[in-house]
Amino acid sequence: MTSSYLVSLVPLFPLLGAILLGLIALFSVGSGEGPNRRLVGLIACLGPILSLVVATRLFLGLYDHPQGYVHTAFTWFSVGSLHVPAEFWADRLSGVMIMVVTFVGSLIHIYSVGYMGHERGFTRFFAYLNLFTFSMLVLVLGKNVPLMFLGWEGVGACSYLLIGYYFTESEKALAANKAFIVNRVGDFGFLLGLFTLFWYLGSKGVWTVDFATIRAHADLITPAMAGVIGMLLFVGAMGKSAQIPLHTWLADAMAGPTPVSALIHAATMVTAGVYMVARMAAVYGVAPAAGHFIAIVGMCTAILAATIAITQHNIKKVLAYSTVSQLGYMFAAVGAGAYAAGVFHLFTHAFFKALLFLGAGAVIHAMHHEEEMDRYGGLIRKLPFTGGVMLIACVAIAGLPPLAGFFSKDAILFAQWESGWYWLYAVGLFTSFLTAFYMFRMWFLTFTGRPRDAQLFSHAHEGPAVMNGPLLVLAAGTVTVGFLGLPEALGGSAFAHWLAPAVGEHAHLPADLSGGALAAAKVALHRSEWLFASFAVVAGGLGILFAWLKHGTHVLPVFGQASGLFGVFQNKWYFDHVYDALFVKPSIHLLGWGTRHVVDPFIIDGVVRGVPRLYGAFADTIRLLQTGAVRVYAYVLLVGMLALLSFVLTKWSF
Amino acid sequence: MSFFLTLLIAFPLLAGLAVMVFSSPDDGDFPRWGALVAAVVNTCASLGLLSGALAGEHGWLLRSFEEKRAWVEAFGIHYWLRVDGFSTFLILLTTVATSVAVAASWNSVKSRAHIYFGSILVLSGAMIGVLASADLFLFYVFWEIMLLPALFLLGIFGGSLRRDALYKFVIYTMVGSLLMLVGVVFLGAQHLAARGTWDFGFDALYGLPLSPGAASWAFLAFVAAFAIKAALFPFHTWLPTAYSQAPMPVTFLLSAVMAKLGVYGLLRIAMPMFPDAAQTAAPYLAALAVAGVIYAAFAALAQDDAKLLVAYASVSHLGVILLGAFSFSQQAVVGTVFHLIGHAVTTGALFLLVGFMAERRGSTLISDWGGAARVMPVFATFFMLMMLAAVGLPGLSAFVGEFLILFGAFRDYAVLAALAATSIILGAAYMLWWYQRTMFGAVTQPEVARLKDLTLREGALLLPIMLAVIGLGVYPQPVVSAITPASVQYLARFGVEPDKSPTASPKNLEPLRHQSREHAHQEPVTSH
Amino acid sequence: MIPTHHFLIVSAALFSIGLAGFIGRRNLFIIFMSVELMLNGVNLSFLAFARHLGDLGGHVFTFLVIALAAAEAAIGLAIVILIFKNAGAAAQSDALSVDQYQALKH
Repeated sequence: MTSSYLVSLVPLFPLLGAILLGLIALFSVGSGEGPNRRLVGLIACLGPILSLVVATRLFLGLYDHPQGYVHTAFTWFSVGSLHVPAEFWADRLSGVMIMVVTFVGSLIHIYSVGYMGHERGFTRFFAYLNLFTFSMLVLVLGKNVPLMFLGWEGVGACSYLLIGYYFTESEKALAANKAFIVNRVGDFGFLLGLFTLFWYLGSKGVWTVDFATIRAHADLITPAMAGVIGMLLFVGAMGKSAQIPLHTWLADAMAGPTPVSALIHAATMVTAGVYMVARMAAVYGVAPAAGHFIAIVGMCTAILAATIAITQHNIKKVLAYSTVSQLGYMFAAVGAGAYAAGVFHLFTHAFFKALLFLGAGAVIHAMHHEEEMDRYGGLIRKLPFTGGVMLIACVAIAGLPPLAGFFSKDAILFAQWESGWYWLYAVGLFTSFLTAFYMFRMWFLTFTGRPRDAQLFSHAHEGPAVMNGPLLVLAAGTVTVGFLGLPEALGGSAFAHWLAPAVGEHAHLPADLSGGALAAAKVALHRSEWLFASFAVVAGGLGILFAWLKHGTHVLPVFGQASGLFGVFQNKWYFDHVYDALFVKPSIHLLGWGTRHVVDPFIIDGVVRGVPRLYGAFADTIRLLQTGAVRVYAYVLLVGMLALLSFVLTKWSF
Repeated sequence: MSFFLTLLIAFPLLAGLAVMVFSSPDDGDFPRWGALVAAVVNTCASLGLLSGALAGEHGWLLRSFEEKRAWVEAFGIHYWLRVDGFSTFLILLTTVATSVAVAASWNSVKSRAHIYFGSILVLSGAMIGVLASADLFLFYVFWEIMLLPALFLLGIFGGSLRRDALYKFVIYTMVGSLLMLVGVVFLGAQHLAARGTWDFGFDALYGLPLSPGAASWAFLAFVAAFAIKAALFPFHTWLPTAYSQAPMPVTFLLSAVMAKLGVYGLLRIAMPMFPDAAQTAAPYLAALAVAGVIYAAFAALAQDDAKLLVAYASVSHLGVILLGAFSFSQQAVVGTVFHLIGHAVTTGALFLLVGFMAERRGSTLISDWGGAARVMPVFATFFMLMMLAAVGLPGLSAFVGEFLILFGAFRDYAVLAALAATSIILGAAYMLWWYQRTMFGAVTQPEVARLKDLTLREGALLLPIMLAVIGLGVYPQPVVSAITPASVQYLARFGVEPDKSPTASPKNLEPLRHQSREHAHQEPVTSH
Repeated sequence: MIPTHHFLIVSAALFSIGLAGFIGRRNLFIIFMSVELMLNGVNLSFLAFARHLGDLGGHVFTFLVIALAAAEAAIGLAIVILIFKNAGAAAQSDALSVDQYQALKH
């Protein structure tokens, strides 16, 4: 193949777009109208679309070249044994990711042209969005850990810029700060994981930060060490993918414009942690304990976020917690070693969650930027198209067949059972009930019942075609992509098979069986797959039923402060309060204040000023001897001379 | 024998003296123009240092431009100049920073401009001299010359609390200088004792046999001198006061170059001349450096004046650099030298921006700002970029150095490096919070609403810095590979081989590779 | 020939008388004269040793001391006169007392 240079082209287009738009934005400052919005929109969409074209070309090529394409653009830096080239690697795993990023990315760019049409800073927005696409592509294509970290931090910075897009509102700017700083906590762990991995492998004679080489030598790592490395890297994933205890930033990140929430905080960036764990599959393969830990954290996050989601009033907050919850599912899957299931859920989730967010965006757009569901209701009459596509997405995320979410979620739950983690399976099943409940609660509150704000309702209307087109495409995707990952009973997952060269195949059957035993095991496997799938469907159906009973039938649902356990849910389990009291306030008011007002001025400067003062005091004492009376000096002189003379005469023998 | 380095040093020194002597207070713009022309000419001349670039196997091999003449023969003192990978880029940094500092002070200095601009040039010449010296005595002379203009600039042109700042600055630096003088004489005498002659040339002093006890005292004397300059905790308190009281262009120069000279001194003199003492003391010194990283970060969090905030931030970053200087892995050493440049660019730029803020609003108190991004969008863009660079975003200048330092230091001191790495969290916290309080939010104060955006002159000053920030972050390899040979030479003095893996021969690994087949991989298709 | 120690005895006597005068008297002029006396005592011993050792170094030193004494007297007396002038009428009666000059210590 001679086309490997294409790999470097994929991230290049959005980068060029970002630079161009950035310069346009900078030079059009103060020119009243700003640059031509059509032109800006065109440039903005061109970057990801061209990338999509190139990515598709690569993706198709991967069918025949499962080992992937590598292209080295230049040496980023190289010191001694640490060699970090700017090297991009499209294999089956990153191939899926670049398709998701460029495809969903392109759609969201197009959607944004309509959604952001009247916003100030239109050009700036698209410059950031293009830069984000570039960073995300570097993250997934980077062939070594530092390069992935470049993308990792890059998407974090773009996320920061975009959350704080409406920067004149201090709360939104603070939400941006929070997102970046919490992510930095994760990055801290990620870096330490990288350092440990490098120097440990180095002590075994392998000096590398390259993913392929790490994978080839992962068996040099002892399980304990792999556990440490895996945990540290997972801390990074916790930050980026909003897992407990670093999940608090994602809900606040909804301060950004809705397309941003769709692209960054649902479809792509937040899944980077899952991608990273899948990339490091070989290391986690050595440390099953770390995998178990990841699965536990993932499931805990899933249920905790789901409990919060059932109490939220803000439509985007519901979706945000839903995202956190679904990310938890993905981690549960990769923790169980079912990388294909995890990445498949990532893949399907990108479709239906982007659809949900963009649909919510259409609702918000129609309701004059009102995000509280307290003022929605009955919108199906005004927004039938949006309501329809969102219903498809809700069914998908609730896990009803044959939509995408059913297959991916089912695979994850089944993997829990197969690993023998029955409690995790149970929690996952219950979460799936909650998921169906809160999603349909949202849908019913928004689209059915009587309008709760007549004025807003009367002005509501469907968005322009640039917004509806992407919704339609995503809805089509939501309906179809699930069939790529069928369970064994229905012929097996094409998706898992596709990913096998990159992350290994998750065997459902013991490898040492043959003949009749194999056939029997297959039958048993298929039977249990049908059984568990029906459990999942029942859980989802029950959730929808509950939501209908509680919110679909009431004309005016009651909103207010929940009490008791639901109060805990509504207050997000008090994580923010605890962090504020435990970390934020003491840092500023105790440690910061102490260093500034006590240690520096008194203790350290005390010494600096104290030493000269000591000299001064000594000099003041000595000074008293100097009376100024010449005759006194002469006496002293005389006495001294006599003393010296007597000493000399007595001690020295002549 | 060339005169290149001599010219590079002498030109600003003489030009500075000329500006001071041949102009009087009422000479109008003469000192400004004179200083600017001299600084820019020197900057252009210093680009000649890059002429040593040869396309070798490892990228660049630098020319040393060596000059050696006897000076005081009785004591083995030479006039000996040369450069290598450690100093070349710092000299370039100095000349560029001087030009920027002169241009940035254009309007802010109203009276006694001839003293001001003359001092900046003299300071610049002395700093280049420090960087180019290859003789310990000559180094000391330039080191002391450097202090005088710095004292003038701080004492005459400083802010309202300059007395206090000057007081601390003088005490700290004088203590450091005296200790260094003791060390210099000690080393000369040791050479006399060991080899029978006086000699102060660096090459003669490396590898000198020293008695362990005396060597550790002399080592500490040098470390004290250099650590004070590089604001090692707990010798850092002069820095925030001096930085916040000096005029911002001067602070720019001090932070970008002068503080870096302390680290340079460690790498050039203190560490390699006393390798045994250095290796014994390094863990403790590294612990101090890390204490400084965290301490200063918390202090920065609590500041309400932007000048002090950036000053403490730079103490925190210097802590990271010092951690690298006290480590013995190649990544850490190269990272240290690289970060001297990468950090100089970002912190310097932040001080310039703070200076622009002070000129506009007359105050750098954070509470006097808020919402300025709407009023001055171009300024906000530059500020954002520099702020992100300062928090170590990959792809911008500070990341590579910081990454390499933490990466390398992790081998020698895993726990310390981990603690130092918390600065990526704390650094983000104080920087972002500052930015948000200054630039974001609604405009509530009428003074802020009236602020003007960046002028063309200011933009022109920031543009080269911005390009450097991006260039060093995206393609650092040319600089890295120029530093590498010097780092190998440096580490050899500690008996550290450049990393070579003991069992890295592919043969040893071959059986292991086979075992891992089940994870399945063929070599991917590669092309360059 | 007169033995050297005779010179030294005279020299010591001169020095001691000078020292006693320097310590004991208050009048500035007398103190000055006492100082001259001490210097001359020293001069004498220089010359005595010069003769004894046959070395001209002692002569040189003596000339140096004489020149120095002259300079000292000139400057010292000038200061005394200036202070006397500035002292004011009331203090002039006491102006030559050495105790008046303690203020010069700063």
